[in-house]
Amino acid sequence: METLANLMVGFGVAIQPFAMLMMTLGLLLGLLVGVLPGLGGTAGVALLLPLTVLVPKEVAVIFLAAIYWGALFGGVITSVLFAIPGEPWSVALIFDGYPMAKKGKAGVALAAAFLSSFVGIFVAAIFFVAFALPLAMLALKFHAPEMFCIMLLAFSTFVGLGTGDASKTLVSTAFGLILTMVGLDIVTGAPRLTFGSIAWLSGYHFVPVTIGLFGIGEIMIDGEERFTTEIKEIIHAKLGWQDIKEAFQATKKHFGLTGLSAVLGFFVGILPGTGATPASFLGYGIAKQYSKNPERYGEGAIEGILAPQAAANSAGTGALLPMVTLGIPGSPTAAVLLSGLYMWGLWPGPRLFLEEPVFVWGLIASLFLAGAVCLIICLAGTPMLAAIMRVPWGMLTPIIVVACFVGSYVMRNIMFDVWCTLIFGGIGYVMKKLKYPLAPLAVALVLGEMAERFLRQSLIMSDGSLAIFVTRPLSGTFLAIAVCLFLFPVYQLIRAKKQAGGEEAEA
Amino acid sequence: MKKIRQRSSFLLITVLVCASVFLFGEVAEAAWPERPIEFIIMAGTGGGADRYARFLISINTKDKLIDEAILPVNKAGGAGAVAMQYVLSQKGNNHMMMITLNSFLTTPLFQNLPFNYKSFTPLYLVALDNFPLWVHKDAKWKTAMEFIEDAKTRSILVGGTGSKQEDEIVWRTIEAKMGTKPFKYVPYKGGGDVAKALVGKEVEATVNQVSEAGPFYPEFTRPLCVFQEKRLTAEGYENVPTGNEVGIPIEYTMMRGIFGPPGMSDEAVKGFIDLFDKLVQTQMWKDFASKSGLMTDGRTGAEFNKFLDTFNQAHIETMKAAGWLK
Repeated sequence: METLANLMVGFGVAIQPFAMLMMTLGLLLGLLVGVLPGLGGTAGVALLLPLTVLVPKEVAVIFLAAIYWGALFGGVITSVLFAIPGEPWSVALIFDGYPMAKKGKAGVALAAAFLSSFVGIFVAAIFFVAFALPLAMLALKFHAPEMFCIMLLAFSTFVGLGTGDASKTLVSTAFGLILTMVGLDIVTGAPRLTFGSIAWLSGYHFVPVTIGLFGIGEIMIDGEERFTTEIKEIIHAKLGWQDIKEAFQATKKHFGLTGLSAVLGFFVGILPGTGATPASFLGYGIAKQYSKNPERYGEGAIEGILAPQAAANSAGTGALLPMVTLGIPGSPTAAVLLSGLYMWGLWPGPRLFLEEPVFVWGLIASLFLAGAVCLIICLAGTPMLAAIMRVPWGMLTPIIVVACFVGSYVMRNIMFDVWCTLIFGGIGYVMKKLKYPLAPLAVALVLGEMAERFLRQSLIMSDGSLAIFVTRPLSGTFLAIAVCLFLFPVYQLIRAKKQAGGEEAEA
Repeated sequence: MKKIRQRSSFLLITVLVCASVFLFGEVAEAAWPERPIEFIIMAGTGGGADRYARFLISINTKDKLIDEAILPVNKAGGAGAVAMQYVLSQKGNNHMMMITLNSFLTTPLFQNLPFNYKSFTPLYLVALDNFPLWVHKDAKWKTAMEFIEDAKTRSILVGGTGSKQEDEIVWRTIEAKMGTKPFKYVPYKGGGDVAKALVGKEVEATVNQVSEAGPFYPEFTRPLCVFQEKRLTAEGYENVPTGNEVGIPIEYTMMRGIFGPPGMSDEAVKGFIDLFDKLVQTQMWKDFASKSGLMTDGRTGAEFNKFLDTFNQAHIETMKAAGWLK
């Protein structure tokens, strides 16, 4: 009851005209930074942070959070339309979103992504209101060994991701893992595989790499096709509300999957140090694992959009929970918002909830409002966005290429990343030609760094003994699930062979 | 005739306008700063250095201490090496400054880089930040000495930010000076992760700054001592003894310093010093500094240089003792 009363206070703050105005402004800015590849929600929030000393703190936090929500929604647009990840967590959206757009269903794909974004935010907001403190305390129980097993779990859902040659999937994964090794060793602090270059000390960030692999690589393939065969210039993206209706129906049909992904995403999101990106991959992987016809994934399955996007947005929201309740930043964006608290004269920590209820509940209430407002803005814009696909290829491509390079630079402000995008564009092209799957590489690049960190932290704790993963109840459970998931494709393979063998024997 | 007069007056006005634009334009141009200032942060968004930089910028946004904007630019990577290399490449740029951690000294030493602190223009030593010894509130140790005695019997699990950087230096110094068993040091990505590790009992002790670990005291954690000359001034920390008081003679601080690229003009150096003199006088900064238990410093020029020489030498000795340098 008290929670509801607090929430009402929060709505009282968030619904003020000035707060609503700033929220909408924040959402629009967030959508913009979300669309620009490389310039992410974290950068957007960080950029505008110092300006917020000019408005009251309750409004300031709603404004900054709105930028973040906007980026969560907006990141999908370029992923779906051009196979360029606008945000790290929208890489998974490329796998099925882009094939859909190529088939002329860009509007449906976008609308589905927006709808699932909303579901994600909404589910997370309800969890936020109902169980904020107990969940934050639960998240504290997840130490490095548990986190490592969760990373394994995420990897295991991707075993069957590369449809086709299993050895090629393996090569692609290994290549990704090798790339994560470049840079400073996290335990010894020594340079690894940097060949004496200071620029290489930064390591390969997966945003410039994926922009190159998917974005530039795709453009090169496209260009080649157009050179060799006469292609109909326009993908027939229909304008109108038909797409949105179709997306609504699809979301309704797969509501269970979407909702479940959102719940899963939320739990991954509240674990400090993970954030929305692993959640989106996990959502995608699990949706595919449990699909009756997984072969449709990668070819434009709408579930491949709904699940990762709901998980990502829910996780992105969940990442704020440990920050608000305990003062622990769950993601880079939460860390930047935490810096904001100091600026507004607040002191983060467990007392914030009690001492500043108006501030905290205003933020929580704005979750609901921002989700709804952002959905309306996005759906209204969908036909227009889909119409971009009608722009002649020769005019659109140069703009995309420029955006790709600018995006890879602004991510970390180093030229090294621009070269990365260029070179990985070439690598992506070659890999596609040789039918190596790109998705496992991207996943390995994101999860590999985290997995290594958690593994090595765990091993320091246990003096090098691997038993630590089995003896702890939580990590043991996750490990068991992960192992089962790893073995599942093997089991399927054996069964398929047996069946084939049986048929032969009968014949 | 009339036409000629008209023409000549037109000419006169034109000349006057041009001259005044030229003259006053010149005056305006001479003042520093002429354009927005780039503020390089040698760490990623959301970390401790990032927080300080954005906090300082927000004061300028609010109080308009200089007319131009200050733009934060994060250059993480290579434990600061990437940022340092970038600032060095901007020789003579009067509109750039960088906020540093101690890795400003340790990274060139440990990574054997072709430059060091002497390659930069030291501008302002804003403050020296603290290293308290934190344990969970449920921990059995009541005093710092109890902790040390326990550490002599077993390898205690401790955490900190990064490896071969500030936090690990503190732990290795304790090891060397107090003769404890080697600490099992777990490196984390940032101060927030370290705080979470202690609150969640993943590690047994940390040396996070008050500005990062303070929010969890007293609900989850408590400080046993602080490794600096004088006690912390922050409210609620008056009773936390210094290391010296309890028999752990260790003093170590985190340098929150401001540096510029080489070859800055004297005017720009003076401008930066003026700016920071004003920044640290604002109420917003004073509140933050007192809550975080910062030792506001304010050294510039030769004194700052002297401090750097001593501080660098101390790092070399510690790192040699730990076997990190040959």
